[in-house]
Amino acid sequence: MRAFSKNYGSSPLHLLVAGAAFLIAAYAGFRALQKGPVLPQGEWFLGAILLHDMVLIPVYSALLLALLYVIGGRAAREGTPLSRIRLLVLNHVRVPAALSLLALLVFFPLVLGLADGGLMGVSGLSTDPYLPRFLFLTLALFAISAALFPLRLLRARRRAASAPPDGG
Amino acid sequence: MLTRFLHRAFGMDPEARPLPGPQPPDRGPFRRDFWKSPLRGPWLASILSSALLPLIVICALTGFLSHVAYETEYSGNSVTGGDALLGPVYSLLDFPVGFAWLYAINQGLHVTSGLATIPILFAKLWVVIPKLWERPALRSLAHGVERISLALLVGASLFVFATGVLNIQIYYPFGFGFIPAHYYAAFIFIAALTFHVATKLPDAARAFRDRGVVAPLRDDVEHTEPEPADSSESAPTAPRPATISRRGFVGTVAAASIGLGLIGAGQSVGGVFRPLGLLAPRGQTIGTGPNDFQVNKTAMGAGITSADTGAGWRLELQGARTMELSRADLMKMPLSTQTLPIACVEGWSTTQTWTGVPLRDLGRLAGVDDPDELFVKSIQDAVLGQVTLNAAQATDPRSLLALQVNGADLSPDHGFPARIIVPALPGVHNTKWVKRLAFWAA
Repeated sequence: MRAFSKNYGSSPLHLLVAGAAFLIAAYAGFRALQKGPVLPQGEWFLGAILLHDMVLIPVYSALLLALLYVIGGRAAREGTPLSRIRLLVLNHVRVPAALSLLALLVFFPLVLGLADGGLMGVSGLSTDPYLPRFLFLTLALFAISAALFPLRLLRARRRAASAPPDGG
Repeated sequence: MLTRFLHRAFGMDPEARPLPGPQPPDRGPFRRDFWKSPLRGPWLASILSSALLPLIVICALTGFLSHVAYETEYSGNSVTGGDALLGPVYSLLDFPVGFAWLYAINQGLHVTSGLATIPILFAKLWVVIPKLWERPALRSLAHGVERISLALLVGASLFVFATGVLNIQIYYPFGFGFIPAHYYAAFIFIAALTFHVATKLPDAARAFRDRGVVAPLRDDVEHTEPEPADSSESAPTAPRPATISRRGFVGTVAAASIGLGLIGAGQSVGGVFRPLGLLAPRGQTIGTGPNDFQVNKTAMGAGITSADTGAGWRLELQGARTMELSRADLMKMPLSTQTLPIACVEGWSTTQTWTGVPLRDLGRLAGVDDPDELFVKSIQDAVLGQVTLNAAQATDPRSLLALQVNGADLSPDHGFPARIIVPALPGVHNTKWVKRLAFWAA
């Protein structure tokens, strides 16, 4: 038992459950490839493994970093805490932006009209309403964010005023 | 108890023999101090997982239950058939007919929980991204096994969600059939997830024990401290000052999740809630006429012409005897009016009031009082252009061969001259443009 753990790195149960999971995965993969073409399914699965971690995360991390540097100024570049107002501006921009981009990421076939052939040809529905609806949603998110901004600024100021001078 | 057992059985042996071979360079993302966010750490990963797990369980269960509802043991009812693992389970189970909205709720939950999962899944992947770059890359064989299972978990989950999201929008940029790919990827997803939960549940329990389940949500941004660097590879060793509190981060993810969930729920509940499905494929309100509600396929999309459905149309009724009935013959029979939903596998529903001949009356007319199966064939020549209904479905008094909806004749898009409407039946099985009904005695 000890020797197994030293050589393998965990208990035999770990290997057993992992093996069962791999067996089910192998069966499912075999069935899927039996039912459909190998190449596109393999490409999409590989893409699913890599695309988010290797493309999406670097891209949106770079966007967030750029936003941080633009709004955070010198403090952001030096890695010191941002002033309250800069923090508020940063979050009141990036939160609605993130929600809007997520909506676009999920519903881009409708918003960009790419699904028009399917939706129109099959179900008799036009994708025309979706771009205006998406723009309306984006506008509404930024409007809500802007409306909350002065309230939160006031609250942050009040809290700063009542905090002890050393910052607590 | 459980976590202690899991920790003993699935924990990593710190004295395990390291694997030989080259290590990744101590540069860029491979360095732990590359990852600056002070929010990353086991507590944040665990709180997101606590929301993910129930949502994924609901999504997976409703997904598999939908296959029960398709009665896949009848060939022609589905395109997934032949699954040796769960196929036998499906044939043992019958989807109940009693509560007419059961399938609508099942699919509404499936698509809504799936949509609501997406932002939390992205957040979770963001939190644990440093682990993808950890050094040494392989601490032991067991560590290697876990990393392979994680690749399957990430790949299968994103594959399942991507194909599902594209399918509800009727957009198919992939060169393969949606149903088997989505279905079998779910197997990989659930298998890898089960192993993942077994290995990580003790970590989550420890994170909650150390920091409290919700306590970190109380800190504002100025009091947001990083989790200890030695608590996990995802916790930062050289964090930047916080720019958002954990409350702010979790709140944003929750808002995104609830927002996407509402879009899904709007098109599922329908009626006055349909406009909530702002960006949903079935979030559009069509009009106020008796036939102004959503269809999966239009008559034109299905290739149905007026020559097929005109005065020459006859219903072929088969059973102990065979006969042909015109629409006028059917209209002269005792009609029944029922308020029943059409519920699509794609997660949208619409409830309407249908008028038609009860299927069991047609069975009696064909000389089969007690049918075991009812085979329905449409004029439409398509993959699911036919369906076999079981005894409960064929004999339920609410099951109709509908001729009218909301007091008006069915429009061509809604299946004129006649369509099937059965409680708690998957939408696509409510066959439109019916050509033949064949009742089979027990």
